[in-house]
Parts: sequence; structure tokens; C-alpha cells
Amino acid sequence: MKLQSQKGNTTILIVSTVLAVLIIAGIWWYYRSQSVAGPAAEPLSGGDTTTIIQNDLDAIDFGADLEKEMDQQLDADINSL
Amino acid sequence: MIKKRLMNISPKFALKILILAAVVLLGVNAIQVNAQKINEARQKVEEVRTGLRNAIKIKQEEAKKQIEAVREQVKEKVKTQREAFKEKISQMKDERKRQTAERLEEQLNQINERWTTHFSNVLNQLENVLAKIEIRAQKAEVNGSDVSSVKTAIETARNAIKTARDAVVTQAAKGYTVTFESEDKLKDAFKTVKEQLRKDLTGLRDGAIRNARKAVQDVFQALRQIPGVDKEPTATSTPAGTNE
Repeated sequence: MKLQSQKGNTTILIVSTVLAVLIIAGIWWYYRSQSVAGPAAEPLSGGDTTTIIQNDLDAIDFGADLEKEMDQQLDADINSL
Repeated sequence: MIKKRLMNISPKFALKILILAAVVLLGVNAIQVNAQKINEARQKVEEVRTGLRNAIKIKQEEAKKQIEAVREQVKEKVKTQREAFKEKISQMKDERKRQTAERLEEQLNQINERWTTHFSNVLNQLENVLAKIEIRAQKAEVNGSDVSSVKTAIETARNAIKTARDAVVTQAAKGYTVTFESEDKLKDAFKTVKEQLRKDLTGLRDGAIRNARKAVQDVFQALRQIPGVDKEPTATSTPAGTNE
């Protein structure tokens, strides 16, 4: 009976030790990775996927209305001369 | 008490515990190494991004200053012609026509200024898109993809943008003044100058600006050909051509 109790205590002790090692290793890993990552740890998506690039390209106004705008701005005045 | 308990542990059991602890530590270390590789890849991409942003900012500021400088030069250059024009229209009897002619002469140069600024902004936007493509290509390279075709296309696009910037400066350096013999020929004189301005601006848009746009689109097409191009950098692969 006494032997069984001792064995139980030993198991608790070992499990506690393993858990403590795991927790310490986890904390050490977390702080180490934080110092290595620094500012670069932020997400890198940064708006450069092909969908976003396509949208950026499509949004550029290449001056399709140039002639129309020129005519609207100048023609009435020129014809009035 | 603890010492006594530890003495009761069988060697076989202790060995099992030691193996378990070793496995746990090896696992933690593997995660740590993997995280470091990811961070290195990210830092490399971040360096490229920062470098590109700074280079683009400097280039765009220079382009802006260059255009402003040529505008000042052109104002000086056409000053005499503008004065001659103003002198001539001041002799016109019709007050309304005189005001219209003055306004039109100013508008012609304002239109040139507005559209050359617009095209300069278009080139800025194309440069920004090109930078995004370059960053994405860098990420693909970190992931082990071959991006040589994209790099070649990027160089072509940069040259096309440079050519277009020069063309914008050339256009910005043009001054539009109207010369006319007599009052009845004023309308035709304005029509001629307007057509010249229209021809110059559309020529710029459909020439150098369109070429720059096509060159950037070609880079984008080359980028899209890369399988899994939108994948973020991971530590499972080695960047192509970066082994030392």
C-alpha cells in the first residue's frame, strides 16, 4: 500500500517536472522568436497579391477623355471668336 | 523526502522520461529554427520593399522638380511671344472677343500643364505597381520559384517608364502661343494651336505612356505565370539562386 503511494507521488513529481520544462521552454521560445522577428513580424501581405495589383492597374486613368475634355473646354470659346 | 522518492525510480522509467524530455526539447528547437527561417525570409522581403519605396520616392521627387524647372524655363521662353500676343489683342475693338482670346491663350497652356502633371502621376502609379510586382516576385523567389522572366520584364518596364518620363518633360517644356495676322484670322489661329496641342498630348498618351503601361502589364503577366505566386514566404524552401 505504502509502495503504491510512493509510486504515485513519484509519477506526480515527474509529470510536474516535465510540465515545468515544457512551460519554461515555451516561454524561452516565445521571447526568443519575438526578439528575432522584430518589426518584420507584421503580416507581409501588404497589398501585393495579383488581385490587388490588377485592381491598381485597372484604377489608373490613362487619359481616355483627353480629347473630349479639350473640346469641351476650348471649342465654345474658339467658335465664338 | 524528494531525494528518497527519486531513489525509488527504476532506471527503465527514468530512461523513458529522459527520452520524452529530449523529444520535447528537439521539437521546440525545430519550431524555433523554422520560425527563424520564416523571419529571415520576411526580413529579406522587407528589405527589398523598403529599398524600393525609398528609391521610388526619390525618383518621383526628382521628376516633379524637373517638370517644375522646365515649366519655369518655358514661361521665360514664351514671355516675349505672349507679350506680343497681348499687345495685338489689346488693339481689338470687340471687348468680349478680346477677353475670350486672353482666356483661351491661358487655357491652352493650363491644359498642357494639367495633362503633363496627369501623365507624370500615371507614371508614378505605374512605378508603384511595378514595385508591388517586384516585391511579389521577391516573395516567389524566396519560396523557390524561378522569377528570371519577371526580372527581365521589370528591366524593360523601367526603361519604358524612363523614356515616358523624358517624353513628359519634353511636352511640359512646350509653350503654346497664338500668332495671327488680323482679327478675322484669330479663330483659325486658335484652332491651329489647339490642334497642335491635341496632337502633342494624344501623341504622348498613345506613344510613350501607352508603351510604359504595356511594359508594366507584360511584367504582371509574367508574374501571373508563376505557380502559387500569391503564397507568402515559408521556411520550407530555399530561394533560387541565393545559395552561397
